Formats: sequence, structure tokens, C-alpha cells
Amino acid sequence: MTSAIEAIDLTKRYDDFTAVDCLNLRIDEGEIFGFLGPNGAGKTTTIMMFLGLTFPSSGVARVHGYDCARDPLEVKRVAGYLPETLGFYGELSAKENLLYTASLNGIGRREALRRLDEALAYVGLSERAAQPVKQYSRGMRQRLGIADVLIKQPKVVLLDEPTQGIDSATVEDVLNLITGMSRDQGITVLVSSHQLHYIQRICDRVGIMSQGQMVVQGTIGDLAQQLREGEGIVVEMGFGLVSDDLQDALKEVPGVDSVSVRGNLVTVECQLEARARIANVAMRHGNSLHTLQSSDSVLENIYLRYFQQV
Amino acid sequence: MSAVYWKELADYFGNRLFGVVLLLIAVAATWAAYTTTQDLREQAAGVSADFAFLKLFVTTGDTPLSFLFFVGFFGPLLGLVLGFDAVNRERSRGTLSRILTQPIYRDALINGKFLAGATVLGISLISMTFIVIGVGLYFLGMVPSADEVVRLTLFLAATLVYVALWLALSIMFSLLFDRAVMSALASIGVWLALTFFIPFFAVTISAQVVEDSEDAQSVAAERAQWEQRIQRFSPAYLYEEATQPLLNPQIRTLGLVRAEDVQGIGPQPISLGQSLILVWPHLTGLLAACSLVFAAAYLKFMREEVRT
Repeated sequence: MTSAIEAIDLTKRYDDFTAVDCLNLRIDEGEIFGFLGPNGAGKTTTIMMFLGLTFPSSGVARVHGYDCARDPLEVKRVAGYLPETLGFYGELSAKENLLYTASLNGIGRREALRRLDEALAYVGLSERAAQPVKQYSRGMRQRLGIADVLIKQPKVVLLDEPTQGIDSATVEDVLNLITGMSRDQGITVLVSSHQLHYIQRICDRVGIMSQGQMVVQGTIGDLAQQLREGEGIVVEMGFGLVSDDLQDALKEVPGVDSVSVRGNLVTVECQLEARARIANVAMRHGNSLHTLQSSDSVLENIYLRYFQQV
Repeated sequence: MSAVYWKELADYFGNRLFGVVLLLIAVAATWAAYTTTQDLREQAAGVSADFAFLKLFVTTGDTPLSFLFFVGFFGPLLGLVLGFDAVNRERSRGTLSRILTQPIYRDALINGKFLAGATVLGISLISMTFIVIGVGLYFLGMVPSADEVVRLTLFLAATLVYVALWLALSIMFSLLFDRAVMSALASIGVWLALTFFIPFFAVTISAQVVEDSEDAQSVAAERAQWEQRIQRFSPAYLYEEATQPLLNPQIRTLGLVRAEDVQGIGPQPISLGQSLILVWPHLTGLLAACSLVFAAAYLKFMREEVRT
């Protein structure tokens, strides 16, 4: 089976600076792949190369078997793109904007109207379709962007920072739409972001980019595995009253490295596996446990670790 | 490309700035044509009826302002207005990357924009010409002859190429500058420099090139020749030289005429073919300039890195 998206030693050099350095990546059909990294890590450049808008200095980018540098037209037929700043013609209505996209894709008017109704209904904008886009809020534009991508019935969708600058309720909508189009229509999704907590939720696999290199990639589980071999995590617990008994009990839990107490707050540094037992001990020996918080967001730990190097 | 073409065509027709400039030129040109009809009526007895219709476009009695003047000098503005934000506006709105990720060839966008712009310019010029023809029909009660119609058509074609040259230039500036204000200023600057300053340069340079000597007459003649050569770098001058003989069949030669050259030649008009031979180099020159500028814009656009 050919991969939906594939990069082999993909490199992009500008005069004195390497934006993307020997990137290797395979994304299977129907997968949602999260592309993480801080600003300037090379995510957008990579996406641009997949779309055939920027040409690689060396290496190959392929989408559904088409070479993105040699066959950009075929790639653009199967790939939809949702940029960070969504560009629509403000004076035209949503419908007119989408019809223009359809005509650029060579879709006949009747078919275009059918797909348009479908796509607008899917993103919940049917009632605002006749309104000029300049009256749209940012969240609505984002949804319109998804409708715009769906018009061409793509096999692959590349999203660049889709959750940037919109409120959390809309982010929820957008994330649901992304998972929905993957699930309902079998679309392969590559979504780039630096907001990992959203990405973590919807992605089958993630890759983290830093300074043009893919530093780590795999499923969230894989990444957790990698983390286990490294440093531990931190668990913070708040009690009504902290007893010595509790401290001793915590220190005896295997995998716990240190326990420190500050007022009613107990901070435990430990290995990831010890987490469950710490919670048990805290329930049994502790006096009215009221908060328990662990920096167990696996991705966050990895993410932070790689970003500290930047 | 047709999708881009129709979209841009609709946009250009809705362009308010273009509407304003077009209206100003149309009103001015119609007024010029009207005053000409009045002059012609006054002197109708003295003037030969030949090519009276063409006179609507060139001659004016007391003022130097004719249809040709208005279209020649301010027509470029029409082109500039359409083109100056063609690409950088798409870029700043973020529509450029969205359009270019659709399955169209990249040049379809710039070709479509240019052709749609040229179409709008063509339609505007033809409409203005018809208004003037209407004014002529109404006030003079004459119909244009076949010869005149052909000459007018050629004049329109030359004007379209001339105005399209400025459209291409402003599209190029819209690629070079990210901000529409900058590209508008640059376009207008180049237009002013080429149209109004080259005559001054020509005088200065020719005075430098041709040194003073005793034969004042030959010095003046040579200087005039140099001035003409330099001025021909200005598209406006080229256009003027190209269209004058088309609209005024009595013009037999361009540039300096010495008394001995015209000895024994009457004021009869020359045939269309002869006029064409006279201006053929100018027409090709204009077309070449237009193609060159567009080609430069095209290449720049094709090699551009497109980011969001």
C-alpha cells in the first residue's frame, strides 16, 4: 500500500539557513497525524512542500504516490489545504467563495451546488451562506475553510495551525469536524500545531519538529514508552492536613524518588508507573485529599523537553 | 484559467476606483468631442469634409485637449488602477495560497488577471469611442466612412495595447511590493517619469550629445533628431506618434520636416496603407514593450515562493 503522505530525506535550504533538514515521514491512509513544534520549526515549510508551492532542495515529498515537485497539479487535485490565516474574498458571500473554489477545481455548476450545500450543512453554516464573508467571525471563517476544503472531495487534508486564535468552544467544533472528516470520509489528515493539548486528543500519531528536524514520532503510547525510560513525573497533592505517617508511606512506594512538603501541599517526584500507587496511598493515609495533579500529560513532557533545547 | 478570468472580470467591473477614473475620462473625452463638433460647425464651410469624423478625436479648436489627449494621458491610469493591487492584495488577504493550492497551473492566475483586465480596458475604450461617435452623429449629422472606421479600429487596438502595457507594469509592481500603497506609488511614479519627464531629459541629453557649431541649422536638426530618439523610450510619446497618423491622414512623416522635403507636396491625405507603414514600427514597439513587461511579471510570479 502506498502511503497517503510520504517524505524521504526531504530538505529545504534557504541561503544560509536550513528550514527542513532530512525529514522522513510516512502517513497511512485515513490516519490523523499531528505535526508539532514551536514556531519556526519548519512545519509550514514542510506543508508547503507537500502542496508543491515550495520546492525541496533535495529529497522527495509524495502525496498518494504523486511527486509534489513534479506533479503538483495531481497533488492539488487530491489534497486540500487549510492555512493558518484563512483567505476569502470578503465582499463575496460564502457561497460565491466556495463556488469559485469549485470552478477552479473544474467542478460543474450543478455538482458544485450540490457539494456546496452538503459542505455548508456539514460545518453548520447553511443559514449564513448568502452573507458576505467579511461579516464572518474568525471561528465561522475557520468552519468555512473546512467547507472550502471539502468541496473538492480531497483524499488528504493538510491543516496549518487550525486552532490558532479562536475561542475554545470553536476549537472544539473544529476538532470534531477534523476527526469527523477523517472518520466519515476516510480522509487522511495532517494537522500542524503548537497547541499540543488539542492535537493530543485527535491524533493517531504525532511527530515533533524542532529546528527543521523531526525529533520524535509515534503514537502517544509510543511516546509515553520513550518517556518512561527517561526522567520521572511530578505529582502534586493538596491535603487538609499532612501527617508524618503519610510522608513515610509515600516514600516507601516503589518508584518514588523524593517527597517534599510545603504547608498542606505534597510534591512527589516519581516514575510514571508509581502514579497509581501514590494515589492509593494518598487516599488511605492522607487526611482529606482535595487536589491531585500530575504532570502526566505525556506529550507535554516530551514537548517541553525538546523545546528546552531550542 | 477561464474560472479565474470570469471571476476577475466580475471583480474589475465592480471596482469603484476604476469606475471613478473611467467616468472622469469619459466625461472629459465627451466634452472634448462636443467642443470639437461646435468648432467644426463654425468652420464647416472652410474645412474639407474628408475625415471630419476623425477630427472629433484629435482636433480641438482653442484648447489642446482632445479625446486623444485624454485617453493618451489618462488612459494609463485605468491600467494602473486595475493592476496595482492584483497580486499583493491576494497575498495579504491570504487568498493567494488558497487559490494556488487548487488544481490550476500557477500561470492561470496571472494570465487570467491580465486578460480580464485587458478585456475590461477594451470594453471601456470601445464604449467611450462609441459615445464620441454618437456625439458626432448627433451634432454633425454625418456618418463615418469605411476608411474612418478602419482607422478608428486600429486606433483603438493601439490604445488597448498602450493601456495594457500600464496594466502589465502595475501587475509587476504588485508582485514586487507587498503593500498595495507601495505598488500604487511606484506605478504612478514610473508613469509620471516616463510620460512627463522624458521630454525634459531629451532636451538636456541632446544638448550634451550634439555640440554647438557654426551651422546652427544642422545643430538644431540633429538635436531634434536626438530628442525624438530619446523620447521614443517613453511609451506615451510612442503612442502619440503611433496614433496621430492613424487619426490624421494628413500627417505624412513623423519628426522633423525640412522645407525641401515637402516641396511640391500638397495637403492631400495619404491612404490607410501609407499611414500604417508610417506607424508600423511604433505599433510593434508598443506591443513589444507590453509583452516584455508582462513577461517580466510572469517570470517573477512563476518563481515566487508562496507562503501563507
